Amino acid sequence: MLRFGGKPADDGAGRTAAGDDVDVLVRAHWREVHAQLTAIVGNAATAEDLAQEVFLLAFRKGLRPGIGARTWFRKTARFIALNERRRKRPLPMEPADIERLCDAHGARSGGAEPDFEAELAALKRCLADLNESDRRLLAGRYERRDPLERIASAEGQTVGYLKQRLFRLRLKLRACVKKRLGAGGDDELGRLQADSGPD
Amino acid sequence: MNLEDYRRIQDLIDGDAAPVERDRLLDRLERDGETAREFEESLAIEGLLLAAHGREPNLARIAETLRARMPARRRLAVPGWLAAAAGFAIAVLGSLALAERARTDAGRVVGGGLSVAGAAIARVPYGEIVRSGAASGGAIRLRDGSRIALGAGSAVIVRAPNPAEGRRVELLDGEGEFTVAAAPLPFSVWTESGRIVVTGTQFAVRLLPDWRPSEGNELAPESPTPMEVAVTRGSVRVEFQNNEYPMASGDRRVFAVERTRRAPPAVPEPPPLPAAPPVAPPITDDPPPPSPRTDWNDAPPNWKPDDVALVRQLQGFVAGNGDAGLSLKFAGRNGPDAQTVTLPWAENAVVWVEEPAFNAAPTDTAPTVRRRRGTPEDVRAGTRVTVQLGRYGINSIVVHGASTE
Repeated sequence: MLRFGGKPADDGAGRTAAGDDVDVLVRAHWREVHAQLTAIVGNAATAEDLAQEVFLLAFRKGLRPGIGARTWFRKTARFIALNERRRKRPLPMEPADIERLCDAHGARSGGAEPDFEAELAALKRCLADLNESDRRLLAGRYERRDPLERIASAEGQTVGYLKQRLFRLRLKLRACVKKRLGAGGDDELGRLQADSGPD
Repeated sequence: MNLEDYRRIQDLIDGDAAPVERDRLLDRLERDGETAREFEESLAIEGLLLAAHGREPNLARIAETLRARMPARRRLAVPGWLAAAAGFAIAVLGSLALAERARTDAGRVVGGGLSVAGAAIARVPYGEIVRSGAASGGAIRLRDGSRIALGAGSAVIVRAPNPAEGRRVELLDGEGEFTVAAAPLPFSVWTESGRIVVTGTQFAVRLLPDWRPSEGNELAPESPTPMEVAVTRGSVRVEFQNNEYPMASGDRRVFAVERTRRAPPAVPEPPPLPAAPPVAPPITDDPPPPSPRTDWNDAPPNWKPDDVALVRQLQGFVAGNGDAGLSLKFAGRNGPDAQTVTLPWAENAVVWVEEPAFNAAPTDTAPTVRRRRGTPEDVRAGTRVTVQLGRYGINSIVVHGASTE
């Protein structure tokens, strides 16, 4: 159960449970939080620093594993990463502002959460269905973190064309994951895919 | 959610969004729930793709690190039977604490008052915004021995050193003076305006949000916050607007994007008077009137200095050095169409004279050179020079040697 601002565990058993929570939360959410932060800030080392801040904030607020934790982590990671992007603007958010926003969004979120491991397994199956060229493009972009210019020169294509391909692939994979997990919301994605033009 | 918004989100995730577009989108993300939801969905698939293609992290090590950083009240209790081994544990924990401090501590505050998130600090953590007070500055001694003296109302972030980026400090606001200890990893100061890379030197960086260009010019709308760099010792390389500017000891420059001030709207001219009958010029023995003076603001259109920096670097040949200033003839423009401009000397201008190094082989076609401090008398007609222009004239000049033009 998600708990914010709960009474600090001051008995030995409670503290042991809190220590166990670290392992549980890290095992359950680290990869997703880190990957999302990397997607926004574009640097794995910075993302690691920020991910630690996300988890420390979770511990400070007494977040426990359970329903709602994933939503909280996703939103908190987004706010912390966006603040990192805003850092050079005149008024970056203070940590207290981030906590306030996370609390507000955390309170609003509800309902069933998709499971990260299930989504990942679905995505891997969707990736297996792609053709070799698309898989190679995604591997260059996400595994080797190659700049698009390098991939374009290796593939003999323009950067603009590759961006368009990535754009459509992401939409396609998103729809595929939702379909495999039996989630709704295909209409909006289908419309976006149709608007983006033919493959 | 429309396709354009979706494309903007993709551009932001790919790091391709223009600064203005990025700021606009960030504002929308904070205000518009639908855009935020779409962003979250896009981010989720991006996170899944990275996780699907990434290496497995060492989760046990991460959990251990986090446990060490957790607030004290949430740490594990030490069972009673361990108390007997306290002496041994203290030694072990001491070394662990030192290792942890090396990982998380950038250095310590050695002067003034600095704070993180409004709380006063004695030690400077990596990755946090460290601010000085509005009325007083502060000083930081980094673990490598480098010092940062922050002015009042300044803010920096010290990043953990890593082989890819070296030792990195980000100056967010105000000004800082950096005394950099030599180390294998390069030291760089990042600002929103540019980057200064050094290996061991002393220099100052100041962001000048209220800086105004010289008369006749104005700050271009695309200019980042003007930045002043002054080098006290050693040398640095400033990266500004995709250009690199080497700076030596004694150099001081402001970096900004400047453009010529646009003329006010034209006032309609009165109708021309009826043409007067032509008058023949008087025949005299006087010399012809002098051509209009050309100074450094009237740069010929083919100048190659960087147009975006106020401080410009020119290369040419000395045509003369007198009371009016330095007359410079441009390389590759000899003959009747050669253009010569007169540049005033700024106060405290520095002259460097290049000479072959002592150990240079006489047969070496490109011998190593060293520089010595010179005087204006070393700037003789015919020598090839590199001139650094500031707002008030020549800031520094490097004399490369006798001309072979």
